[in-house]
Amino acid sequence: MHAERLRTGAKSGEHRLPLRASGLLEYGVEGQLILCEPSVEQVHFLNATAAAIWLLCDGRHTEADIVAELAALFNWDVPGVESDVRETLADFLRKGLLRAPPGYDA
Amino acid sequence: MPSSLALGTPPSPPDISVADWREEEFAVLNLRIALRTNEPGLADHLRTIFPGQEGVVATVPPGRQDYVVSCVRNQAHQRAYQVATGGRVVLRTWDRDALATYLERSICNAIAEHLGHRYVLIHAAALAHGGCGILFPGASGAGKSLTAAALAANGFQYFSDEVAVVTDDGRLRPFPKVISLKADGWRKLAEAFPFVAPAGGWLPSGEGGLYHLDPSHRLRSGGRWAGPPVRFIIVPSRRAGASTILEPLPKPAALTLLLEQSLNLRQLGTRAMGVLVRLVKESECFTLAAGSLREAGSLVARLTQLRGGPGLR
Repeated sequence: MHAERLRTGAKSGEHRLPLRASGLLEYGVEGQLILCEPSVEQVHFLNATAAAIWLLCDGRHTEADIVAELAALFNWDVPGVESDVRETLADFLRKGLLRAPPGYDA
Repeated sequence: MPSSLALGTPPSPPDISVADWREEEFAVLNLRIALRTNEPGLADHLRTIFPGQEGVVATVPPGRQDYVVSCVRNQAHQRAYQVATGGRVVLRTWDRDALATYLERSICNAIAEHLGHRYVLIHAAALAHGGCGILFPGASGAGKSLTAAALAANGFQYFSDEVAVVTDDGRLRPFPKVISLKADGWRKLAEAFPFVAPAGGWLPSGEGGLYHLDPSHRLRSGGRWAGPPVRFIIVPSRRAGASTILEPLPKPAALTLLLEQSLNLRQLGTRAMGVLVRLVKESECFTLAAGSLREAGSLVARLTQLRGGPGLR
């Protein structure tokens, strides 16, 4: 459900505050961030871009903030980054890597 | 990820209800195995495949039996065998090779289960050279045993051809089994190293049986001995007739493979995950396409000597 809402247009989610799911173990291996559930049933490999988005999901950065930070970090154009961030956040939600941010169900 | 090693499909034949068996015991690490059989030479054959570890056997309390397996030959049908464990018939077969392979895999699994409470187990061959532990992870048929045999013949220390036993601080421990090779693998080994001779009293009668090699450098110290740290993870593949090539492998790809080949990741949970990540972080990772057994051995030996160098050809 949350993933669907995230896909509803570039502007609809820009004020949301994505927050990382708690309890995941994080390992850094050669430029990739590896997230492991405590049950070790699922292990997720994030490349540098996905890892940067993940680390910005701290409940304080809005989606718009994450887009701006990422664009600055990698020297990319904001319009091109928006859709990547939206899709990545939707993917995180689908995989249970994010908690529903405050106001998400409002 | 595999939870145990494949046992194969049990063939059908006869139901054996009466047999005049006797019990023989042998200890592997601190696991006591009882074999009830009427088949001459079988217990000695299994003792050769699973040699006891010096200094550890005495710690097994008298009378304790951790794994009991019965293997009886039908007195009326001289070639029919029946295997039972835990009071349940698990195999009936006419095929002596199938029987030997089944017993070997079955005992191998019992040992792995025993060790799996304490150590991280990976479906991998494990050897050491120059104080560096080397893992060769891979699914069945990837060439782990043949690679292990070729390297053991090149003077590497042998730890396992199938189940790598790793401590929490990333060191190898020996898995108490000699190297097992199918007929095709044995032929290739014998061509490359004519001096090798099969171990064990039972030699296979057909292509489906297993030959065994007892590496002269196999570690017998067992128990309290700490092995070398794992410093290389090399993924083997067979490329008969082609060049032998060693190429760097990205660490995340190596970790993915270790996760797939972990035998007790779910059992040990995040503890095993931490060990696997540590292994990858502290190791150099490669793929090895082995066209020639001799070349593969010398290439891996050079790699361990030139630790930290780029991919070699």
